[in-house]
Amino acid sequence: MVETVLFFIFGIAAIFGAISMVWARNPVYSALGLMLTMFSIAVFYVSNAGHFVAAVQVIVYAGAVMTLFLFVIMLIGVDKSESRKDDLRFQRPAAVGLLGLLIAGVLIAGSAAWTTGTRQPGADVNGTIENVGDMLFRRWLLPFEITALLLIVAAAGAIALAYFKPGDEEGDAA
Amino acid sequence: MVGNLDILAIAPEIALTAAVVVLLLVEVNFDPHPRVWGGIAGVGIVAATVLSVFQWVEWSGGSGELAFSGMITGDGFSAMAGMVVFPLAGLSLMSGWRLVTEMRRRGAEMVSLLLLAAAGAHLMAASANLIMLFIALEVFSISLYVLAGFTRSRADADEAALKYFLLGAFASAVFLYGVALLFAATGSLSIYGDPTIYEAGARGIIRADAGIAAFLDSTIILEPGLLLAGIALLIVGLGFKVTAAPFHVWSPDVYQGAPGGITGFLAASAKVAGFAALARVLTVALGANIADWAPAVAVIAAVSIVLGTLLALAQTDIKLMLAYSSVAHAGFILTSLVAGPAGVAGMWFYVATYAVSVVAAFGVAAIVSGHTMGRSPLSSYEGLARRSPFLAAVLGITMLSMAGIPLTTGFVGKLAVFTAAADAGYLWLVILALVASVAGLYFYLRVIVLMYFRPTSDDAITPRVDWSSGIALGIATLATVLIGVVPWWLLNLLNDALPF
Amino acid sequence: MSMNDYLPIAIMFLLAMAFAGVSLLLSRFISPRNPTPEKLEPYECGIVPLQEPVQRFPVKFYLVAMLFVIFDIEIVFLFAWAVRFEQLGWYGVWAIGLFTLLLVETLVYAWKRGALDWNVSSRQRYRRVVAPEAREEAA
Repeated sequence: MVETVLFFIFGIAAIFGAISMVWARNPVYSALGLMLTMFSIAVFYVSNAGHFVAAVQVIVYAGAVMTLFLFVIMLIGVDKSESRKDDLRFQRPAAVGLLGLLIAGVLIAGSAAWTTGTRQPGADVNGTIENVGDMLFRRWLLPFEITALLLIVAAAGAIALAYFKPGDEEGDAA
Repeated sequence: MVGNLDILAIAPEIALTAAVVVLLLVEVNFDPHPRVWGGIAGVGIVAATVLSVFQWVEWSGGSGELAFSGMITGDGFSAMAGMVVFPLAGLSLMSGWRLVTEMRRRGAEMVSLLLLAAAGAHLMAASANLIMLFIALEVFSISLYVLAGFTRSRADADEAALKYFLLGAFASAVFLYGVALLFAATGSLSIYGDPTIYEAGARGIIRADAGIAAFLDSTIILEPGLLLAGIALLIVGLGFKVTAAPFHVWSPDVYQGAPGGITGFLAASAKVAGFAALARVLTVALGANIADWAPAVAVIAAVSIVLGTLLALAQTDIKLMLAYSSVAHAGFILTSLVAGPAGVAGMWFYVATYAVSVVAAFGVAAIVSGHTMGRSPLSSYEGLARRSPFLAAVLGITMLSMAGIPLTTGFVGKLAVFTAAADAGYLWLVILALVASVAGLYFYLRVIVLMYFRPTSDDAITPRVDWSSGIALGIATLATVLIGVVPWWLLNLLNDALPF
Repeated sequence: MSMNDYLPIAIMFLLAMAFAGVSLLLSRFISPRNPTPEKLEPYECGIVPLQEPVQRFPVKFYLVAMLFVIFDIEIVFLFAWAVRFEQLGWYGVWAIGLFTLLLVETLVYAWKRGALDWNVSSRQRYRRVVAPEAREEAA
């Protein structure tokens, strides 16, 4: 009961946020719309007992990534609203067509019965933070440690790209 | 909980990570000469290669082991991937060393990213779990995105990196969606399963995981929609990385825009890692469903061969020509995969030797048109034989090998993959590939004609070959010829390099 | 853990919404409003700008944001470890220790590289000046 009510409230909120993100002319409204969607998705995770994923969703996506977006938007200028001129004439009809195709695909895929795997999520695969901790540090230890490599790549890559100053590269007319 | 076997399975990665950590810390603390970076990176690459050889001695031809609770394999396949990828990274680093020094201080990051990309590439080949494969894929491809845009003073390098990043991120998302659908269809993310059952956690025992292959072997799936969609998305995601048509659209821009010194590594390592991952996922995890994916792979191979060859015919820039020809080569390599496990040895031979050739070809292009530069019009190769006989010889032999002329590795590779495909009953694909190979002669031989039979223009500069590129190009050419003349030992060796 | 545990969060959320709404409404009803054309001008002193100047801003801002995201992700992993600290024992300490060590290395590297320096002039000292003979050797 509670789940159903929550699903409808936040489902509508998520769709509203997604549409306003694409629709808004002001980039700040776009960012806020995206944040609403992210937050609504976090609520879905909670109602599916994915407490850890919900926390990650709020901390990383609604928190850090959105801060990054707002950072960039504020730097580029809040006042700049996006021009609605299309570079390609068939862009908008094509988008509508693809949306129709997507909806048709979802409806067809959703109404058919597909064979799924044997392991149904039971009580022992409940996504509580304790279980995530156990899984992460025992079975999924290696991917977890490799994530550290990924973060080194991200840091070194960001620094390498951001640290360029004109004249830094020989052999180029800087 | 972490045993010796686990450590051996990721020993090359440990060596490379240690090299990167030392390199970055030494760089920021002591501000050393670029030679020091080279030394540290060299030690890391040599150590990783030696450890891969050790893995090979330990595991080749054996029944294969799983490490880190079924996350990663120890078998001849993963050891062979290391023995291909790490020397390749070393060759690329040597032939691109001018670029590293020209980046001044940012060269340290360039070397680090190259080492991490090599580690990611080997992990992709060794992964026994689709999530592990995804993280390895991300380590590998994010390093490559940054490397593609390293020269910030050229707008087309920025464009190349941005295109590569956006399309690559999209392809990764497609791949991840495929993984999710495959999980939904089979109830497992593990290719081989997880033999270990852990002690009781807070909510009871974590159940053992039989793995995708075992599930598909033992189950008749009546409504395989989810499974088929998952397989399709996996093939699309990895097909993007190996530049198979029609997922190749990024490659010409990236190969032409990326800094010349690193393009060879971008092209070669993506092929090796992508095909290794594709081979393991398709032949092992989805081996029971070969009837489902082999026709799709055959069609992608055919489209790649035809499209790559036709578009390469029209190019006037050697890097664009190499980019489209790499699409065609992706098609040739895919040809071997339609044979399932029987084609894996041929795939290895083709992919390893092609990777060496492509590093050599882009290495020559980098010397002729500048290590930081992108464009490399064919006109600047006119009369190269008179200006630099060495470069002309390297590029000439590389072109002959790519064209598939006998006594080069390219011929043996084509022979191996075509035989595998013909044995699997894909005769139409083999005939198509043979016709395309003949058509491909035109644009490979055109380069040789330009270099040897055209007068050099008066204002053409004489390219200077630095010693490190010279050694790298020499090794690559020597390997192409030697293995091309006596390929049997390598072909025999590769029969042990199958995924278990 | 059940949905009921989230009740305080939901109440908090509603309270926050209510506070924002009440504040807006109150200020609308209570505050005196007598706008004059001068008050509606963007600046009370100086000339009215005709258009925003074209801005260029250092790419370093992205760098700081990027580093923030990286260490934010680390915090999330630490969280998962902390709740199972006792059960994982020393094994867990090694596992998270290796991860943290790699990230501390990244932090040291970024710090020493000058990625956290805001002041441009102090950043200059990190720039390498390649000596002429080094260039010759490299070439």
